[in-house]
Amino acid sequence: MSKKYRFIDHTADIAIEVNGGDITSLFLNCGNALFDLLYDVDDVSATETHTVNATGETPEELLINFLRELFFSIEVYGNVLNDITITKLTESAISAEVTGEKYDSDRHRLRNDIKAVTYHNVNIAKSECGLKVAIVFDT
Amino acid sequence: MGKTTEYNIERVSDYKYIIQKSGQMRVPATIFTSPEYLELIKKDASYLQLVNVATLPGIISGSFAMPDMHQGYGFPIGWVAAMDLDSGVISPGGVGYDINCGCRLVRTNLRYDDIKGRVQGIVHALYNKIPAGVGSKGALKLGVKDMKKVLENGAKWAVKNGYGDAYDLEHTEDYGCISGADPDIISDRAYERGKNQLGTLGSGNHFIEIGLVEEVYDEASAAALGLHKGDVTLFIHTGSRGFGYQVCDDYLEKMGRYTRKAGLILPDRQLACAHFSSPEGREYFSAMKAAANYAFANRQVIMFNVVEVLSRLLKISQDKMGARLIYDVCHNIAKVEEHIVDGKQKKVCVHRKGATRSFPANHPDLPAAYKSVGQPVLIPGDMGRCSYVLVGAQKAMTESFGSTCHGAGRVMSRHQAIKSSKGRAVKRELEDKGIYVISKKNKTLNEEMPDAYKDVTKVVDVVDNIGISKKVAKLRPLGVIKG
Repeated sequence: MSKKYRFIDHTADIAIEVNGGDITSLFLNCGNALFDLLYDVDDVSATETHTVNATGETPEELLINFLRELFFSIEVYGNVLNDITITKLTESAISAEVTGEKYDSDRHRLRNDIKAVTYHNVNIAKSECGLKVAIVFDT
Repeated sequence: MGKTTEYNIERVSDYKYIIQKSGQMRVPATIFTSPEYLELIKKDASYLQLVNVATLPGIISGSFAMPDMHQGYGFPIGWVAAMDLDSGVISPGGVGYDINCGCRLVRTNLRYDDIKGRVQGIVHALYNKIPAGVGSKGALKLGVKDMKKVLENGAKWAVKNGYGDAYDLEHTEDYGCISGADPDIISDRAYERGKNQLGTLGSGNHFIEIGLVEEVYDEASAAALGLHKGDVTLFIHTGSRGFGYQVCDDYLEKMGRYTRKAGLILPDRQLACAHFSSPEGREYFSAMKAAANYAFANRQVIMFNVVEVLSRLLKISQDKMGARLIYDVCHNIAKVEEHIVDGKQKKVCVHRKGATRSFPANHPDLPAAYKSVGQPVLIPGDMGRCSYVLVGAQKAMTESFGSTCHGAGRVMSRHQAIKSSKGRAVKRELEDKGIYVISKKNKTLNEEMPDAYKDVTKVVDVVDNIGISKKVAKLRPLGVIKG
């Protein structure tokens, strides 16, 4: 998978910029970037499907809340996720089917330790290839 | 990066700089730093963040940066401000995700000769006993009923359940328990994350360190704290684990809604806040106290386990080892305290995000043992240099709402640190300096390598020179367990 995000420098934490052709692909690319930051997605099998829902009063808040839900599933329920299908996306709500499996330290290679997805300066802006957004993670 | 200022940073003295009030700022921004580190602050976005938070409603006198300040998200790290209880706000971002992240320092009767040649064994034994690393769990499993007691009673719960004694509570900020935490407002998610993480270290910059008093600057104060040159010490740095993160996350979301409802205009969504006097503000304050109490209990349980491991391994009775808590300090917290504002005593809500309380001698909130010397202030450095013990000083009450710095402060991002440490064996480099380090992941050692931080000695010299806290002793690390 070619990476659809790049690192931006931040003194304390991890910051990335993500691009997407439209709002749906931006949300998808952000979710996939989160997975890629946390572990090697190539090691993950799609043996389970989870439904993830989020709401937000602005598109930015919706995006961060969606990432927070994905992160919670990984961090607290011990899932490793590998694929997202967005089934509904409105201005204030998102539903997605997400596949993956339970984390297994013998098979899954972890990458960065992330502790939270922040709302810091989050702004979805127009870019050459559609839309872009910068996301800062607490580490 | 590389932003140039549109704000004029004026020099007040060699260690104090000010950005006068302009635009939406309600108060000036004050930076305590050295000319050398001022240049670093100009380079990252931290001083812009300092200016942003000077726009918050009800902020009193100033937005204060400590010499370890660096870029955060929304709020800078190494920041202090006091808010008016009626017109001011409370902000989860202004406390941070790791609510009541803090430090505790333990002194012992052990001398270097008692542990010489055994540091590696001690480090491995501690590493096996104290769960460390991201999402670490399993030290204790708590049911909802016990969790509620932890949230209400903090370290008092730990002591009641056999992890330590009353002496420990006497030597903990707020006596190990902030009253007024309501466990019934806490989300199920926070309970889920907190139930099996008590007694665990976590990851990132958290650590347990076995060290030595290398230098004493103030013999009388050091003696009052029970520190003598050559004594073996134990230093613990951790916080409220996933529980605190979830509380912060929950209220960042809720306060985003409040911010819009109340029509508050904020320069950054991460600054979401609520008026302290509003139901939302009160609710967060109560939830924050619950997380703070969780952290006090966490450090108490870890300390108890560390001391037990050490006593067993060295085959020395705990009585003979004389391990005694010097103090436990919070460095991510909001508190209602009394300060002098416009010549009058006033209750305000002090936010310390990456800053330590620094109360002087005779302050009414200090325990009897420290009434004459001042509150112990614990400043960890990076794992390769040293840490410091200071005491609070009177000038903190007039300069910084009773606050001082909290650590060295990063200069390099974790990403940068990994890049620049490529091909280097950080663990080996530290071993060559006589410091044995173990971590769940080698990557953590690269992210946390000494060059990624400012020199804590220079940071501490700033606060000592301004007089907001005074140097007492320097500690040298011998063995470190990183998360």
